[in-house]
Amino acid sequence: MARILLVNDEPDLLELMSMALENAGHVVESTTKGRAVIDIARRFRPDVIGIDWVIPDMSGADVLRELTSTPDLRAIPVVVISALERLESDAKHRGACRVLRKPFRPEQLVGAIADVLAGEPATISR
Amino acid sequence: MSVAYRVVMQTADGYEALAERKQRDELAAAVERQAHAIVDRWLERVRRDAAAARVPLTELRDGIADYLTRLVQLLRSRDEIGSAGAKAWADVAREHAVTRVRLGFDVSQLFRELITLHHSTTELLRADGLLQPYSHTDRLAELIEMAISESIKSYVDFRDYQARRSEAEHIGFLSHELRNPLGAISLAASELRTGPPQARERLLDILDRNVERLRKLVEDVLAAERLDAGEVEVRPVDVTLGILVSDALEWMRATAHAKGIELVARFDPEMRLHVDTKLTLSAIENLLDNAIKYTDDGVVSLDVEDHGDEIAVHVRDNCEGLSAEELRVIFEPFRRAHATKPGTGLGLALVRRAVEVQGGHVTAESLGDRGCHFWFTLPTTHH
Repeated sequence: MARILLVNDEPDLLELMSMALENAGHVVESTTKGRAVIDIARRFRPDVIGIDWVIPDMSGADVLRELTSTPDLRAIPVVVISALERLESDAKHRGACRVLRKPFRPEQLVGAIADVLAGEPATISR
Repeated sequence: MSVAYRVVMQTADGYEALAERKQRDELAAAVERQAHAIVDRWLERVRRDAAAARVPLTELRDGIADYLTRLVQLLRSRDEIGSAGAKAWADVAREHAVTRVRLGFDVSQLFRELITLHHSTTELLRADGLLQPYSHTDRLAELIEMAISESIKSYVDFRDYQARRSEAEHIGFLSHELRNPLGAISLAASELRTGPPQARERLLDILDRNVERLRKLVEDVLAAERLDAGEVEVRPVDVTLGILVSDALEWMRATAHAKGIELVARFDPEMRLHVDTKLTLSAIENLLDNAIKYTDDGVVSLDVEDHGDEIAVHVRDNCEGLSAEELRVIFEPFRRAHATKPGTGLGLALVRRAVEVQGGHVTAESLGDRGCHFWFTLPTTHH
């Protein structure tokens, strides 16, 4: 069991992802607002953060930058979730440890989170 | 030929060249002196165009100083046109053209701008008596012509390049728009199979919503293509406004309500129209859909006015406002002002086509942080 924070502007996807992860035994918090991530992360202390690359108020890249430049949150592994192609190297370069491509099946999401928790080296889940 | 004759001839050539050089220098010095006055006069002339195009004057001024500097260099140089100096000026002309594409100028605006610059320059120089020798006028005209042709050519090249690039972006963007609902559908289907039974209703709702999103996307793309290909027949019929919009309005009210915003509609339901119902309804729906999408809190309003031979449909929202550049391209397909909001990038393009194919006009204005105002007119011949 782990604590997972999800950031996504699509409420439906957020709900479905939370459902899949909760069914796998994780505790999930979620938000549709990129600006809220730092506050929630400080309070909720997630083991992994899953960020959608395209969100309305801040881009995934901005959220990632804020996280990696916040000393007490820097160590939390981040999984970037996106439908955009050609994103991997950019997201990795900015400090994401994994990129999960949309659309994905629930077991791929659960698997990606499990790999990150097990400390697997950075890879791209297709 | 005697040596003495050759010397006399060479000296005469030399004098001529010297005289010409002096004239050029005078002309160049005059252009330099007059540079500010030329720019001011040019700006004054272009201002009318700029106001119509909503282009800030600072953006118009940009590039012109370079133009004049190069012009002076060319006038001073003894080279024939087409040499290195002319090439440098052509570079400036290209740079200038690229900024005009970015500002959304059409070719005729660019052309008018350059013609105006030409007139401002020659008028001022003539007023100073500097264009008396015809060689000056000719040379200046030749240089300006060269810049105009170079600017126009670069403009067209760059615009086509932009169009090709944005086409590639559209494809990427559409695939993104397709993947979000597809992703939700595939997740919801898996959850339905393996998840707890109490989640069933929620999952079916999510499936419905996302299938609807996909349907709308596919329909918009197909409708845009049909309109593009000119495969649309306009079939005006007699209808009252109330009958035309009541269903759509109810639907839109629900959508607005779900977002916590208010939809206010003010019109006479008995207003009689003679329009193509499908096209007109699609225009109204897409304008409202757009307004609701970009308003995070506040009010969206629909007002319809009867002006006798035409109707005016106004949609106002409380979005964050749009820049001049965004306004200029907003009715073009896939030019979305807020790339992070969900949308197909086709809604407003469909509005424009649905309105124009019926002989109407559509316009948008930004009211700053108070929101945006979109409206269209449609001719309505009552029978």
